[in-house]
Amino acid sequence: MSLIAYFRSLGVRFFRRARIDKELEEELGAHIQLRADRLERAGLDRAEAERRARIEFGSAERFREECRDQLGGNFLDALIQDVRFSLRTLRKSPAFFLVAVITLALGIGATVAAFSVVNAVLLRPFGLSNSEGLLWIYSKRPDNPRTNFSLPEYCDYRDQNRSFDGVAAIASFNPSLSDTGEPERVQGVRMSANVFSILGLRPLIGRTLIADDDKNGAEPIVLLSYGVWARRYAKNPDVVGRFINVNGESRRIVGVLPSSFALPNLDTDIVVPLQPESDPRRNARNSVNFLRMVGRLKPHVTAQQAHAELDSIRQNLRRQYPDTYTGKIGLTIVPITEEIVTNVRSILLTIFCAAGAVLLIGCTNLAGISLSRAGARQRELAVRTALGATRSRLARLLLVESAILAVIGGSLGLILEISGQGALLRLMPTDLPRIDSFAVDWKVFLFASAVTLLATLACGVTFALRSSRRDGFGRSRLGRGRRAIAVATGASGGPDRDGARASGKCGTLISQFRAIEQRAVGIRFLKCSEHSLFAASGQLRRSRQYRSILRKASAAFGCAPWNSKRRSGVDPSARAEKHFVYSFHATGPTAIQT
Amino acid sequence: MNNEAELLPGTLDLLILKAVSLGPLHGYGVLLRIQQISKEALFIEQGALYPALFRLVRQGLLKTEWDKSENNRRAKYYELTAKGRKRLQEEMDWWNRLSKAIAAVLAARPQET
Repeated sequence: MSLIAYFRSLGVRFFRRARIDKELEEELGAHIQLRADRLERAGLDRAEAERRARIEFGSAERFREECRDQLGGNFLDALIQDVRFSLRTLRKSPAFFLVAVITLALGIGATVAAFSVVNAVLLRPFGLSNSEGLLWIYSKRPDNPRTNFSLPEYCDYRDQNRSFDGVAAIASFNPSLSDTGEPERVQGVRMSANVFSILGLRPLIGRTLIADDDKNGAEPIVLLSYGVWARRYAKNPDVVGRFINVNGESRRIVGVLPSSFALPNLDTDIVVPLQPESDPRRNARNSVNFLRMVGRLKPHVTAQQAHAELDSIRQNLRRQYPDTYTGKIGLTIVPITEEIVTNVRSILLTIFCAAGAVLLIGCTNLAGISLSRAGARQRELAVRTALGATRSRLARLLLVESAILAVIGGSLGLILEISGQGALLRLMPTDLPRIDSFAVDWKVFLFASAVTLLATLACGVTFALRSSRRDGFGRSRLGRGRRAIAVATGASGGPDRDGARASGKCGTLISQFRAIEQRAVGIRFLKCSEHSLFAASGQLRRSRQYRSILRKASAAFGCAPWNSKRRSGVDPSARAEKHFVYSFHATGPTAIQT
Repeated sequence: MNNEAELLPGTLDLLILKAVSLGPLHGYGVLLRIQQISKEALFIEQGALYPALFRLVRQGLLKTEWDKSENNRRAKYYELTAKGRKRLQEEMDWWNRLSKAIAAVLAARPQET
């Protein structure tokens, strides 16, 4: 019988039970009437004929039941029976029930929580309609494979290449933002106007950049990120058209970016257009390198071909301007999706594995408890066998029992996960990209169900298979079951009896995680100190607090303050407008108290 | 009545398929046709016919349709599907092989062994 036919008959049985019963009744009734007609023709009176027909037919109830069984839906009835019975059994041992449910809830909750983060950061395609063929392009120098381009250089690559549908430029800057509210330092991004069409990004409200925004003398405009819009304007859609002060220049807000918008390693609070011609100082061949580029490959062009073409452009430029190109030894080209997640992949996967290990440990322990309970349930199972329960029926009953535990545990775990998301967010590294978009979606639910199913199997299968054997439940058999579990956990890194080994394994995971976290700490502190410095720029520059921050930063980075003319650590690399911008280059974990 | 033979297990399906292959029948009609062809030599419990019919329908070997019977009663008619026709052929081959083999064994005489 084909599977489809099976499910169809299951569906027929389940949804049209009343109709089927009526039809069956009618069919069997017709049989008796037809038989009675024949007997009547043979000379009996009607009443007697019907009586005889009924007797000949046999037990109508029994055959009706058999017919229903043949329709295949019987499985559902049995399942409902099993569920009812299991619930009764579990109610009789509340201690076991509680332990099992809590164990599974914690295990499944942790795994699902870890997955929801992995899902948000690693798996979900971020706000881009089509991230295939999107590449980051960097200039390669002897000491650093990812450095920036200068403005004229960007224009050369943009205009001379034939591999890309478009090449856009992005530069970060740190303007101060002020309107009626409190002024604040934000992370700004200058972008060439074509960036949004290349990335395939639509605005949440208003518009993004258009080609004319790039022109010299165009109206000064600004786009807000979702974060700034929510923070400063309480998500008021009327902000479009208002003016806001960016570095002392009044700019009109033309649009708000969607919350999914994120650039790798570059927080974006506001976006302003990059206007090459309006910046003659930077638009010089020997000026600063401050742009990174992103391009979308033309269809049927590979990244290698594009790389080769850009490299030949670079070599031409190098011949043309030997002075400015000495350090630029090549190009680094990276797919955009890779760039977004590489930094955090190892952290997330470690957390994910740790959570999975917790669940596995929980499941194996539960399986152990179930096996020892099997000893106590020997009598019950023996009676059921004696009453004619088949092996598969018994196995199913026991599986249903662990499924109930897993489903309750899983639902609790999911609730735990959803309600504990705030705490989880605080535990996560703060600079995790796209963490705002972290949410429970259908994939998380699907994953939770899959984990629950796996947990059911992990907890129940050994128990079910062992206990449902017709040839008894001797100690030796249970022993073998336990050994099988011990081997399984040994292989997968969980514990059974060997607690020390388990904590050892967990310890390894935790210390691995610590190591990764600490690597990230330096960067985080860097951000924090940068921010403090920026906040202290302008008016506050000469205040005591600012000096103290600077002193601490200098001490932490092992160099003198900026005004002592040493440029190794604290480096006044650029002076933009009225503000001083400092960049720190930290390599190791650093702690600065500010 | 007493010289009606009990059916061997597994042969009811074969008989039903064969009976229906001669033309669509309702349940009672299947019974009548088998009895008529076998000259009432086979005993079929009337009610037991229906679980078998349902099983064959579920296996996709028979299809059903409600229609008027010869006595103007509404009855469910069973008809052979293409798959059922194929199965009937297989079952008949199986039965013929089996019965021939059994007949050969039963016909054996002492000197032949």
